[in-house]
Amino acid sequence: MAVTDGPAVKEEEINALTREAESLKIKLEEERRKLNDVDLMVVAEKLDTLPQLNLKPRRILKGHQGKVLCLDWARDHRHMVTSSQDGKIIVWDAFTTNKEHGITMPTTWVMACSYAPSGTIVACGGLDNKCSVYQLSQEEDLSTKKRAVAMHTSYVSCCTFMNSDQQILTGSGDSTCALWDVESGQLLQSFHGHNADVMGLDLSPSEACNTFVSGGCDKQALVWDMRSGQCVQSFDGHESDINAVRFFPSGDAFASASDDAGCRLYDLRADREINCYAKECIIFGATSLDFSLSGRLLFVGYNDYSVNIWDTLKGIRLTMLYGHENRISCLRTSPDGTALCTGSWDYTLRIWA
Amino acid sequence: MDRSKQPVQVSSQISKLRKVVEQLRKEANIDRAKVSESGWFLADYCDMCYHKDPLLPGVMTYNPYKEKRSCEIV
Repeated sequence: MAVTDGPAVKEEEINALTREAESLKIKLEEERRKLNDVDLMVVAEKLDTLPQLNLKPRRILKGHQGKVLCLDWARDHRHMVTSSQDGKIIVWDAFTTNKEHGITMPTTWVMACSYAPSGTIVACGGLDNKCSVYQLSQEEDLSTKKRAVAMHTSYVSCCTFMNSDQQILTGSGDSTCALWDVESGQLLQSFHGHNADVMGLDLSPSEACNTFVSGGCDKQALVWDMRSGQCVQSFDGHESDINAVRFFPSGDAFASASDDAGCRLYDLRADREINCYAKECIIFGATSLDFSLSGRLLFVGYNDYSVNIWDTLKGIRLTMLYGHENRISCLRTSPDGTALCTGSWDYTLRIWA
Repeated sequence: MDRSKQPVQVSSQISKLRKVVEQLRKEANIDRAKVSESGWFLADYCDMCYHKDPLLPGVMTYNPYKEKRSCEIV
């Protein structure tokens, strides 16, 4: 009997593919190493050392009755949407600390929220495996204005509007990311490549906005081509789950925060890790991170209730912000760079400037 | 027979491996810049935007969060 596709043939193919994958990995590492001609710290020597930073707590936002899990600024630099473990979403005027809208979700652990570019819609999702949008209006009960847009097969860990209100990108515990049409709820593109839960994503700030980065429990950060749905670059190095990823403001690099207590900076042009932000004394997981407007400062929130500020290029810790009484769960610089907002398991958010 | 499931598992393993190899081939062939060059771009960006970054020391842009609120009791 002529068996062209018998078990032996298949086993051989598996072995050949495994060997090829191994040799390609080695080649990839070699290529990346070759171009590592100088340490980023050496490049950073051309920059002056930063004088003492003077960030102070300016506002405290109180209103959630559970752990704050996510926050997003509106483009007006003033409003903010936050979500919480208690199933509530609050829209704040960060400047006055007034609560402008409160929405109760049917499920607890609302892990993701996003403010639409127009400022008239917010999106959120979590353990309901959905991403829903709410039209903000002056009516009492906003839950009637709810519409489910996205559906995953596991929890929604992160979501962000694209450069318009029409599309939203989601990341999920089902290990995929997906792009959705807000109006019709149609799946426009799905992104398969992670081997475990996706925990964070960020859109490229470059004008064309054709790429985004995602990080997950497979310790990998993947860069995706939005249109083709293909992964174009992958980066590893973390020893534990990646909790958050954020693009450097120029779009040429991104940083990741991990449960291994470290953060890493990956450069897209050099296709490699170019900095690592860790210290022996930092032992708790990093949950969240963001850059200042110029990219020079890297803010990182940790499970030990602290926020560290790093010099992105020199790789040194500049200072720490204390105030929260529990884990920092989320952190975001305002779009105009005037303030940093941190959210915590202590039920509050704080604004630093 | 206990082997009845095997072909399916083997084919899915093969297709997974093929995808991995295809991805690695693609990534191995991308153009890369030297760290000295790409790092310089990042440093240059920070430098260029320093004066616009309100959270950096010595930058005197208007910051509403730093102003005293009008309703403050004197």
